[in-house]
Amino acid sequence: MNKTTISAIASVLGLLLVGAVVFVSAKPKTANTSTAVAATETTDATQEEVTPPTQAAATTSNTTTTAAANTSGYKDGTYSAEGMYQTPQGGEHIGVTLTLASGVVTAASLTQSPLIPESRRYQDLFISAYKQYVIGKSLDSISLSRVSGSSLTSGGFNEAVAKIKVQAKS
Amino acid sequence: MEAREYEFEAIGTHWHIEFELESGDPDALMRDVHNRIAQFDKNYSRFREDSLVTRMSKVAGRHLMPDDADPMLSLYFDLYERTGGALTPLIGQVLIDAGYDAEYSLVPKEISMPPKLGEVLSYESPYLTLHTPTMLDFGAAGKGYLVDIVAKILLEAGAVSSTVDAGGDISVYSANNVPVRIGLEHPLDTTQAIGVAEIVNQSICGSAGNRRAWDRFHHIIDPRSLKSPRDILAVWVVADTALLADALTTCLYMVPVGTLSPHYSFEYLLLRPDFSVEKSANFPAEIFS
Repeated sequence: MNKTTISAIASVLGLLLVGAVVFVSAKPKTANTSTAVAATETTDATQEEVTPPTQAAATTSNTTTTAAANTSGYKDGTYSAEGMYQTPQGGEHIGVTLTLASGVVTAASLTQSPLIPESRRYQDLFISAYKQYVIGKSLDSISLSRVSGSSLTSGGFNEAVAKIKVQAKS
Repeated sequence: MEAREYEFEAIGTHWHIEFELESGDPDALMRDVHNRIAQFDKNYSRFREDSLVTRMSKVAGRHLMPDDADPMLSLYFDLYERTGGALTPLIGQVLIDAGYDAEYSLVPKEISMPPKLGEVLSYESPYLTLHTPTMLDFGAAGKGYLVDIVAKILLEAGAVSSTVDAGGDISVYSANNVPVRIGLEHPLDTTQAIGVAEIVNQSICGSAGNRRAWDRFHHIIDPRSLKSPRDILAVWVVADTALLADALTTCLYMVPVGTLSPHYSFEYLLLRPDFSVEKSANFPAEIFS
């Protein structure tokens, strides 16, 4: 139940980063776009234009089938972009990858490769403050080896709790 | 290559150990592990009449600490300073007065703030001198430390991989860098996970207030407020040692990340009561959302 939207991401980025945010490149990453990737990569490497997130002109349809029609105005897919911003030490960047389904951000991640060492601390603060809401998934549905949580308690503790519950009822 | 798995109860929690041994007798190795665990329990458990810690709670003066005490004591004293006294080995009496005593009476009596550390003890390895009989509690980091100790025994016996899990505090070693998938238990529904961490050659420790809870308390009581923190549902920390990861999960209930991050290398995830998470950029898990 992710409550974020594209505009929320953009506004949070804007708030935290000093200076203008310029999206340098936006490349769709859907699986079947071999033609699309080729098309994008033939553009001049040194000056990538800003392109809105979209499937390549050539056209193959999206392999992911969605049950309901997507009327959000944003095509489903995974998009990544580099945000540029100014710091007192010069230009800096941070990477954002979003997955959209019917116009809702269903996954978001931020990647760092800061040009300036000082930036890492600020980017860390931003990344760690970015709020993400979680849901539970049944353990049966995930492949795992172990589980980590609160310590399993000794029998003594559990027994004591059981006794107290009995006392509380009487 | 012998791959073995063992499950058993010890130090009041459930253990799961698995390892791959190129040569040697795995059962003999596990006997060593059990003996080592028993020795640790006999030294540091406040739940045993015959432990060093119980003796120290009755007898002041100079006590010779066991050979393994220094790394754990040093971390406690360090964290005591860094957290402004929030993490303290003197929390034992507070827990006991709150009801979490050796008999698990779970009935709170009057609780009061513990004294300043320097007022009751001084430490110069290997001697810890108590100015007054004092109950020391190593619950915040003891289990993690013991996980490290056990993992080291396995490594020194030639294990090429091991997973040592004591009640959800887990150390993973793999010579071939094969990660282990570890579910992050949903604190309100233990049949579910809120994410999966991939851990290799590191440790992960988790803490939540759901299991050991009674009256108005859970297993962590902040000595400064004498209350159990309610603004965190669960915490996980990943670090190079389970000793550090375990200690930091307790600290993160009481102090902000920024208090600790300049001094220690770790990744963390905090789960808030509204089910939002705050985590470090490189916390090695997929979170379900």
